[in-house]
Amino acid sequence: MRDNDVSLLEVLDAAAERRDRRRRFLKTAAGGAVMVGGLSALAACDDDDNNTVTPTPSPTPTPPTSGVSEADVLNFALQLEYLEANFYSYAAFGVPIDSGLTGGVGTLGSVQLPSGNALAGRPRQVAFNDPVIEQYAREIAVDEINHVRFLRGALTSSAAAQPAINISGDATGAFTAAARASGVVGSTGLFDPYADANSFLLGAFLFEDVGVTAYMGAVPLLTTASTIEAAAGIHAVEAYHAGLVRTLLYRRGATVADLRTNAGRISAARDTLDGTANTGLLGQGANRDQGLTGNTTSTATNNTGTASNIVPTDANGIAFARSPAQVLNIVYLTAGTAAASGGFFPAGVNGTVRTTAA
Amino acid sequence: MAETGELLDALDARAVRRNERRDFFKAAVGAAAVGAGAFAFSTRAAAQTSATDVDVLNFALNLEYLEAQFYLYAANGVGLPATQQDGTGTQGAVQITAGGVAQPRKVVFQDNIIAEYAQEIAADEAAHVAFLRTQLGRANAVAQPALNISGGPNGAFTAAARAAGLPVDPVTGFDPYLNDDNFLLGAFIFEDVGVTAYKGAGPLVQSKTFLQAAAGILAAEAYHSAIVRTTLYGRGAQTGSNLYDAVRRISAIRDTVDGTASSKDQGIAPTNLTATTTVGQNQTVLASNIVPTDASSIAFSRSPNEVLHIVYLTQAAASMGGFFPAGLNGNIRAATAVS
Repeated sequence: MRDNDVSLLEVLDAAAERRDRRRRFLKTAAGGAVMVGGLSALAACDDDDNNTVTPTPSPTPTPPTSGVSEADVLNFALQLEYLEANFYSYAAFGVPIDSGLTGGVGTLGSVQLPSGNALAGRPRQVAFNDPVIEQYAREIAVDEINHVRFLRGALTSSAAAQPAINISGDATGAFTAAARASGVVGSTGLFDPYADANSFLLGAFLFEDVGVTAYMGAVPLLTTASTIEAAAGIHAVEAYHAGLVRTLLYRRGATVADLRTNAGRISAARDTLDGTANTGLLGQGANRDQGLTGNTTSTATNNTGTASNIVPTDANGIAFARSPAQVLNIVYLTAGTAAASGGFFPAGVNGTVRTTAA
Repeated sequence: MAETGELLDALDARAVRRNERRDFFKAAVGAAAVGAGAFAFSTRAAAQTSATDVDVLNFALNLEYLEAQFYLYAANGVGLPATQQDGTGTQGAVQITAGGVAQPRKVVFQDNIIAEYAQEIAADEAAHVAFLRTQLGRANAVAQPALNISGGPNGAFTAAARAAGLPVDPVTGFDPYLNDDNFLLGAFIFEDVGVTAYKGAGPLVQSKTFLQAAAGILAAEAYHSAIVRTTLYGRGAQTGSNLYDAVRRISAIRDTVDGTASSKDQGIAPTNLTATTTVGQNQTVLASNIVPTDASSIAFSRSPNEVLHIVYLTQAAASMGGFFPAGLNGNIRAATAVS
C-alpha cells in the first residue's frame, strides 16, 4: 500500500525501471526473435508518449508493427476469457462453453476432467442453495461467454484456440494447487470451488481481480481508439464482476469467519506470484493486490470509522494494473521466469503472449 | 446499431460538432459497423479532437468533486477539505440551506456493512479528486463548482427522483441521507454514470499514462457500482420489488435525459435467460443484472455531452442545472441538445 501520491515526476523517475521491465517482458512474452522491433514498437506506445499534461493532443502513436500487436493482446485476453467462461459456465449450467466457440489458431484443448467418477472436485453445476447467488453466477457466466464470442468476432481468422484448461478441485486440480499455495487449505487439503456457494465465491474471487488488472495492463498496449474503448468496456465489466464477488464475500464474511481471511490469503498469494520488481506506468509499486479488509484507502480525507476494502486500489483510488507476463505468473501458478504452462493452463495459453517474467 | 452509436460517442469530444459527425459516420460507416466493425473502422487519427488532456481530466475532476462530496457527507457528515476545492474557474460550495430539510449530512445507517461501504467509496472518491488535482497541477486544475447534493423541495436529488417517477415526500422531497435504501438509491444515480463517463472519455486521452490512470479510475468506479447494485439487488430480493422498480426508474430517466436514442442504461431486476445465451440449454432461468452491458457484455460509454445532460438533469441545451447549479468548471461544460 503506497501512502504517498504518485506525481508525474515519480512516474518519470521510474522510467528506467520500466524500460528494464519491458525488456524482460519482450524477452519472455514476445520471444527473442522480435526483440529489436518489439522494443521500439512497445516504446512507441509506452513512455515515449507524453507523460506530462499538454494543452494540445500529442501525435498519433505509431501502431506496433512487430512484437506485441493488438491482435496479440486481444488473443491474450481471449485466453483469460476462455478460462473464466468455462469456470462460470460449469458452475452455473454444468457444461463447458459451446464447442463452436473454441477453435482457432494454436493447439485446441478442452476442460480436463478428473479420471474416475468421484464428484468432489469435478467441474460441475454448483449446489448453491441460494437462488440469489445462483442468479449472479448465471449473469457472470453469460457475460464471460459473450466476451469470448466478442473477442473471437473481433479477431476473426486470427483468433487463438481455447487451450487445455484445468479448473478442477481434486488432488491434481489447479484450484486445489492455488488453495494449497495460498494456505486456504493445508498442504494435502482439497479445494472444490463447486462444492457450495461460499466455495464458488472464493473460486470466483481467485480469477476476478486478475481479469481487472490484466485488462488495465493491456489498455496502454493498444493503439486503436475503438479497440481501447472495447477493451475498457470489458475491463469495466470485469470490475463489476469483481465488485459483485467481493461485496458478497465481505457481506457473508461478517458471519462466516473464514471467508474474509481466505480471500486475504488468495490475494496475498497472487501478489507473491506476480513478482516484486514492477513499478508500471503509474508507479503502483510491487503490491498489486488486496484482500477485503485492512487497507485504508486514502490519507486525503477526514474519514472516520471502519471501511470495507471491496475495491483494491493504490493510494490514489486507482485500480491496479498487471502486465501480461505477471498475469501469466498467476494463472500458471508459478513465480518463476519463462514458464510457458502450468496451473489453470496445463499446456500453456495459445498465442504469442504466453511466458512469464516475474 | 449499438456499436455504431458507441463508436460515434468515442469520436465525440466537442459536443458542438456532434450532429455533423453523426451524420458523416452514419453515411460513411453504415450498417457494416455492426459486429467486428467496432475494431475495423476507427483509427487513432480519426479520434483526434480539440479536447485536450487537460480538458478531459478537468471534466472528470468536476464529476469526482460531485461524487466525493456526496459520499463524504453521507459517510462522515463533512465534505472535502478546503484545500481540495480551489483552482481555476469559479469556486463554489456544497449548497446547504440553514434550517432546510434533507440537507447533506451523515446517514444514520441501520446496516453497519453499508456504512463501511460508504466509508470506502468516500475515501476512493476523495483520492480521485486529489489524484486528478495533483496530475493537473495548480495552474490547470479547476476549482470545485457549486454543487447541489440536497434532498428537500429544491434539491437536485429530489428533482432527479421526481423526473424518474419515484415516490417523493411532499415536505422532505427525496432525501438520500434518510436511510440505507435512500442512500443506495442516491448513490445509484451517480455510479454507472461515472463508469460510462470514464469509458467514453478514455479514448479521448492522448497520454498513455493518463489513459491507464483513467482505466484504473474507471475500474474503481465499476467496483463501486457493483457494490451499490449488488447491495440493492440483495435487499430487493428480501423486501420485494420496490427497490428493483426504483432502480429501473432511475436507470430509465438517465437513459432518457442523456439525449441519445440508443439504450445505455439498465436496472438490476432479474431477467430470463433463454437457450441462446445458456450454451444450448433449453430451460428458462433467472439471472441478475448487476452489470449494465450491451449484447456483447461490454459496458456502455457516454460522451461528455451525454454525461452533462444527466448531471444537469435536462435534455435541453444547458450550461448549468441539476447537481451543478452554476455549471461545471473547465472547457467541457456546455451540453448541446442532441437528436
